[in-house]
Amino acid sequence: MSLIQLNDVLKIYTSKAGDVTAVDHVSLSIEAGEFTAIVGPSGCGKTTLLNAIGGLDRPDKGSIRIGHSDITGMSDKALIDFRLNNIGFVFQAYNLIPVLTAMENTAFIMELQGVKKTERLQRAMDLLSAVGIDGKANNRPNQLSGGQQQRVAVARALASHPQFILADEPTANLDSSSTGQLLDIMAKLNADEGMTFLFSTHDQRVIDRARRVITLEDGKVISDVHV
Amino acid sequence: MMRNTLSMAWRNIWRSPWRSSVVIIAMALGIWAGIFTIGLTQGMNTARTNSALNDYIGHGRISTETYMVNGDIAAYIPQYQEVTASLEASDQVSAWAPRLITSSMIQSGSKSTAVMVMGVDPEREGLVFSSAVNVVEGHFLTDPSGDELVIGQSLADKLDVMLDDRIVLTFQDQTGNIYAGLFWVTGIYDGVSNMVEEANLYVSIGTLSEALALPSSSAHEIRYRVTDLAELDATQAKLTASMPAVVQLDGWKRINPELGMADDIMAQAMLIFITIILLAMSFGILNTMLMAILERQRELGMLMAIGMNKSRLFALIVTETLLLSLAGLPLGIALGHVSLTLMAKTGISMASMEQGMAEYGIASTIYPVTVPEYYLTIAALVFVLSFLFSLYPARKALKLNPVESMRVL
Repeated sequence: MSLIQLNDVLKIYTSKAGDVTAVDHVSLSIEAGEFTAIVGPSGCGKTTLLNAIGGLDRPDKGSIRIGHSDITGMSDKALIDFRLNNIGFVFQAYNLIPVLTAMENTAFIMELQGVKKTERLQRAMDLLSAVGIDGKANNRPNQLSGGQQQRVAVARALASHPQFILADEPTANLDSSSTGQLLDIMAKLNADEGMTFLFSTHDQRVIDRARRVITLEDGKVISDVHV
Repeated sequence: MMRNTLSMAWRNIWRSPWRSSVVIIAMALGIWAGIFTIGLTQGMNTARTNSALNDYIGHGRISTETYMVNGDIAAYIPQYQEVTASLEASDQVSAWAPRLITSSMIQSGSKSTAVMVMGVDPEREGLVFSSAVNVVEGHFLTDPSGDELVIGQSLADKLDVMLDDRIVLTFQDQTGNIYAGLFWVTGIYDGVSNMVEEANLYVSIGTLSEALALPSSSAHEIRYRVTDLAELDATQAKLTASMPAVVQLDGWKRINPELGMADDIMAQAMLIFITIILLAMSFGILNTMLMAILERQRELGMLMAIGMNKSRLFALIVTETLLLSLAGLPLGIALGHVSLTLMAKTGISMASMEQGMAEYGIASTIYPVTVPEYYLTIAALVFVLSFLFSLYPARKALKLNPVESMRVL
């Protein structure tokens, strides 16, 4: 069974200027352990598709299954719990909590899960170490560079033991050195731990590292290439 | 989890140190202003009550029910000796003074008016009431059965009389005959409320008992002071048990219910006042929290996206609001308490309003009192109002859509 299964997903945004079909009858499967990039021009529906897969947005039609769960029919409360326990998010603008240290940011999601303090601090430190930023564990986001913040975001995304990680333009705000380091970390996590990554990106450096590239245009999948 | 929410909320407050400081200081000043006003008003009220008790009410009264209902001058206290013996025997009664009272017309050379004539024991009166010793011109009564008369400054002004002037008192005696007597103004008292000064004048009890055709040792009422006013009810209960059943004892709150009610009304009014102040402060906090939520839309959206449930988010916003409000509470209470403690020693001079305050028997220097009995109530009010005012920002936060919120730059 596929880890992520989309069947005929349709998402239309309504505005005064008229309806915009952001995702147009998309069907696709993503297997566990994939390292997949969704690419395409701005406005092609990458982020909308990622939001739908992440349970942040509901499709107007079609269904999305994550493992054995159909998330399209879930209540808001159930979706929040599902996201907490099954999906890791990495955002373009890092979106760390400014008042928490790198360690606390990483441990925060485990706190939401109800993990015991000693356990979550230990795992947070292990994860920060895995992304090579354990030396900055007590720094707050404003004391970290963009690349360092994004690495904390990856550690946070991994903290909840998710089934997969959704990364929306994770390298858009990073310089090439930081991008390279971040991609190395994610590729290593994918290779060593089998963590599934699904990116939306414009960044050729990310596309070059992906093992599967799905191209969208006007909300439709126009190509799906396994490298 | 609660501790982490508390810690995160506290840190969130200090993301805008200036803004939060302004709100906290405003809250502290509001609480301080409220406490200080309560202390000042209570001080004024206490001074007014004490003044009334010392000047013309006393702590308690012994009389007969008939006299209290009808004002019948023949309804004097029976078994007077037995009653006074009980008062003497009580170590909780510090002083007592008998009084005969009748309404009368007073006539000076040019004017006349209605007054209450108090027939008092010159020696005992001064032990219970300060008006007897607060004579600013001449002297208080000295002769237990003479034709001396002491009037208030306001009445003297009204009648255009001065010390050593002669005036005429006219009233009915017990048998219904009209009595008219000539008296010398031997003293003028002052410093009591103008209302009392205009209404009450003093003659010797012996003179009045003779004029009213009453027995020599008779009194319509006996006013007394107790050693501990807080124990007045208990003292009265003991005295009642030791006295003839025909007499009734009333505490000062029954003698003058308006004065007793003033304390309760004042307490209610002060609570309303501080609630209004805190309400105004709460709107400031509401505004701050709404701004904070507007500024943190993106972050709140992210928190919901990664799995923070609504109850946790609600708790976070409510906790932030409560902390913001409660942070100013100890500072406000401390400011209020310290300033009242200092002012209670030095007093606050209201010399410019002296005349107006005298009308109500209040001295021109007010000594505020500390009001620790209000602190818990104020804390509870701050807590309740803050909680109520946190609901709207919390609701706003809960209504955020994670995807749309994270698009906010």
